[in-house]
Amino acid sequence: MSFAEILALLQYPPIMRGALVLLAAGTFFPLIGVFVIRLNLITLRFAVMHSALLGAAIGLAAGLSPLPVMMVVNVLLVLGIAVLGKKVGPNLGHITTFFMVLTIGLAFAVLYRFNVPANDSLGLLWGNVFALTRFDAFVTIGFALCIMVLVLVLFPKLTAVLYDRELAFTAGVPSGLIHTGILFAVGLTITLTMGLIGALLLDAVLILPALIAGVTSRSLRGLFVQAMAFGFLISVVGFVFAIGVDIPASSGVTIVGALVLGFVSLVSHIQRRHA
Amino acid sequence: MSQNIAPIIQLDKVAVRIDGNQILRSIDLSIHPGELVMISGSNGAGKSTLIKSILGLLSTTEGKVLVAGLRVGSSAWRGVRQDVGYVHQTTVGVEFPITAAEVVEIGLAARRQTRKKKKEKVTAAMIATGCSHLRNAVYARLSGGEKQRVSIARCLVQSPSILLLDEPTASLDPEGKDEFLAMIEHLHTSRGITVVLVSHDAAQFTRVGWRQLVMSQGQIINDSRLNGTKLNGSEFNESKLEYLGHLAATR
Repeated sequence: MSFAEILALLQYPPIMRGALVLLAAGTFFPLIGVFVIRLNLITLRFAVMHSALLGAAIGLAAGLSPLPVMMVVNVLLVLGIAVLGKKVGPNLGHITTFFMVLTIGLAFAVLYRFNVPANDSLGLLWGNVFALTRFDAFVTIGFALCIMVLVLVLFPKLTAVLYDRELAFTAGVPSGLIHTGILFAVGLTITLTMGLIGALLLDAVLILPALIAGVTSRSLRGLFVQAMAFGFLISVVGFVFAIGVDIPASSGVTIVGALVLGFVSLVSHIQRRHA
Repeated sequence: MSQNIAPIIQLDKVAVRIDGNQILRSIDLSIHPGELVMISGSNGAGKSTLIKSILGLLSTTEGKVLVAGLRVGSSAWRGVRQDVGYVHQTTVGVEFPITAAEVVEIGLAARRQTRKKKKEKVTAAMIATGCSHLRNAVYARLSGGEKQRVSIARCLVQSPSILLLDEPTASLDPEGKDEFLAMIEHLHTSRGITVVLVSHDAAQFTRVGWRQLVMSQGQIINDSRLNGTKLNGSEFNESKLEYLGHLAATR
């Protein structure tokens, strides 16, 4: 497919909406990804995805709209993790793994017990960036911009917590509150957008740019700026690649992201060996 | 040191229990403004727990801790807790991208100041600790001594009246330790900062002018200010052995 044909495709509103949402998510969601990576919240990300499935199953079983139920279940999950985290210390791995396993077990129990078609529930996790309504697009782009504003406003406090919670506390930062806020932001980002753009694409725009920036940057400011820059680059190139070879946008973005991560890791490794 | 001045740090019958283990046992301690205090003791003596109790990072199970007359944990104390600078043994990984200047700026994270003002303070603190040339260096790649200078600069931007240093010399060679301690003594003299330093290797501590406390099994077993002596390495070991012998006999 030629570049002109790709431009022609953007004349279609669903494609244009999808492209805009992808650019907004690709540019600003990596900011949340930085916290996921640096605070070791990968297991939280899995727990949130699984509890979203539980929320969707409960919503469908009760004949309710799944998205609000997914959000309620995830808010309860993050609250539970935050409360228990205060008792067991900063390493949330055990707690999040516990909730991850529990929620997926409960989700399948609900699906079976209430005869909910599994495809309806799982379908909410796949999402499709080209199937978004105008409302969906506004919500996602608005949420992405909110993330950027929050990170800008709270940058000194957020980075202090990111560096060391105890030192942040002694510098006067309410580190417990900020840390809980970060957990909520991660949970909310994953819940709200997973159903809209899909779990695979969410991973590609949330995690991969933050990982790449972690390899290339030398400063905290550089880490955030480069995560956004790589997110933007991966989204644009991945989108064009996906349309060009006729594969789903999520696959295109993920493949490009993974290749960029592999490339910068290799270059960094070679540089370290020759340093 | 005039004992008529109110203590800047006061512990009153402080006990701390963590996961069923008694870490601190009924500690009474007064530290006055401008003192240089060295707390020593073997691993598990409770030195770091004592420091964390003063910082409000750990809650006491009994007793109270006062800093500058304010009870640690109270709302009045929360507003001024950055008056205490804290250095611990850094565990930042090599892969963590943060520059030395950004580490120093963390001390100002809760202050509402312009970026220009913050930059000026960071520069001044880094000059004071002799690390301004490391401004843009990646923190994780600095040597142990350079990291500690940057950490002290991070404390200085908070304009602290107290410095709490938890094993700051653990990763330094003997020359590095002397250099570091000389810098701390200079800051103490020039700025009147009260310094409390925790170290497990008191036997090698030969500097004068420091009040020395020895901790063992969650208690202060010797205080050079109270008995008017300065402990050297062998005295420290004797003191510790004496206490352990006493403990074994009573059991």
